Amino acid sequence: MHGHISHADLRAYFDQELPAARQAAAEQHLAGCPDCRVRLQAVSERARSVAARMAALEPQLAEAPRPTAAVMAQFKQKHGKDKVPMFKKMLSKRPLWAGLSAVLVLAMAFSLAPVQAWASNFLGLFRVKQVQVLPIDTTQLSSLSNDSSLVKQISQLFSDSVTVTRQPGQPVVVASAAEASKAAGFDVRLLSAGQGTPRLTVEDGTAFEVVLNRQRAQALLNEAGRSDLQLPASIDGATISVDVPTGVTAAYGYCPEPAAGGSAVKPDRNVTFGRFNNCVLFAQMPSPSVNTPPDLNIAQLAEIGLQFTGMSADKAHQFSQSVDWTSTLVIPFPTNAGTYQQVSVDGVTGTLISRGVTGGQYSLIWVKNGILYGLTGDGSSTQAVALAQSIQ
Amino acid sequence: MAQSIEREAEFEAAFAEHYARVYGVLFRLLGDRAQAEDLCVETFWRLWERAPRRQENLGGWLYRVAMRLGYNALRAAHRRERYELQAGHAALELNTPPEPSRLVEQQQERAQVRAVLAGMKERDAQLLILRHSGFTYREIAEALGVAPGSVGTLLARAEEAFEQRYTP
Repeated sequence: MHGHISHADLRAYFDQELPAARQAAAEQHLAGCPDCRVRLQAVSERARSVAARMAALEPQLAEAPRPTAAVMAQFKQKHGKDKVPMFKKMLSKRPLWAGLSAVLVLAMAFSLAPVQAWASNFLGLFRVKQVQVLPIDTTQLSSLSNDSSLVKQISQLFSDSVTVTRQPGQPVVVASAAEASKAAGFDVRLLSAGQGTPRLTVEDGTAFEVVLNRQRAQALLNEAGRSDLQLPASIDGATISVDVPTGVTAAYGYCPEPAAGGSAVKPDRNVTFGRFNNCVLFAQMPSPSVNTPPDLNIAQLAEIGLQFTGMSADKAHQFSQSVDWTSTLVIPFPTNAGTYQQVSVDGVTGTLISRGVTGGQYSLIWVKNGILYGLTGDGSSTQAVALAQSIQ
Repeated sequence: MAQSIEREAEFEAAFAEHYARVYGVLFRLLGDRAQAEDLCVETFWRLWERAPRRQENLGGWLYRVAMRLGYNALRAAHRRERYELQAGHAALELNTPPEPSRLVEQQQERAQVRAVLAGMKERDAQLLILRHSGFTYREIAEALGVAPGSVGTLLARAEEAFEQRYTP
């Protein structure tokens, strides 16, 4: 080694942090250099003195970290909780389902909130004349929903794009079907008298506008790793206005209280399976109306949305071309969430969704004379159809 | 799904590997178990939210975030303490029941060391905390984003600054 050891190297030498060769060379130099030994002495003393002060900060036994597993469990709990409200928020910002949310939420109570939020964003542009169930594989969506940064951005884009033009009020409980009809502006129907007296709730409709932002929506697709899906430039700035009329929910049996300012029931499946297992909800609402610019190609948007859920390009194209998007309420239905079938109900064709193997839950949805009906409860599909036939 | 499971497994592995150490540096900075734990969770939450692109520097990224959070909290606490002293809150503290003197001494020394760290340059304070939490020069370099060869110099300077400010 030429010349003396630098201050920095002496400090690193003290910590034995010099590269091996330099550590050895420094040692050799120190053996023959009293000056450097004195300097090393000073450096060492200061290092030891600071170390002694810093040692006071060390956690004592009672201050040691908790077991990693326990903290991890807590973290997961917190993480899980954080994820859910974000989606709930997205849903509650779009009160499209004010009246019928009970039906849909019960049918898709599991991890389906993200799916519903996503898919109904792409598929929910309609004036309902018919209902069609679309089985989708949610694997890809669930993995995306774990990317909380992406979820946040989506949620942000929603809140930036949606303007509520008519605020919904609080649900109001009324005494009779006549009163409900008057408040809602259409003839409210009930199940047959044998089913007992329902608790009737009138839920205000709402209206909102969505302004599409092509650039931000595309950025999200890109971030989700789907830059292969290109949104058409023409959608930018398109305004979609949605008007959801006032709906009425009739609750039979022992049902949970309507959640304040939100959907008709809290989608808590523990509660549903427990105390409320004889609850039947019958919801009805005139079809929401949706106005879109005439040049907005909804089928094309739907196709992109479907591909985003993981559907192949061919299938997405086929499906989106087969649907009349101006009149069909498409319910995205996770393939593993249950079964669905078409049934005859109320003189029209309805869609019956069943969940659970034995005596699970059912949701029966149909459209008649411009009114959208939903019947949901616990029990078999036969029970559902029988109940629906009793509607007066 | 496979992707998310993989990501979750990766995250859990990082948590298991780094949690105790992240807690260690944060506790040294803050001296408060609950606060250290909170910031620890915040650090990992950020990792979960936005993972660093290059996984090999995961440790460096984690400690950099933790140190930033911890140092800011230390600074804030320090300002608060000074304000409370001026406002006469110290009088209240003097009336609290006496603790065993060894504990009192330890608390006093901790407070003093932290006050010194709070007054130092951020990087110097972080350097001292990391080094005296047992980090190697390489680990320090990764966490602070400096060249490994410069750690000796920076450390020597930080120690000098510490000694100048610390009056026993």
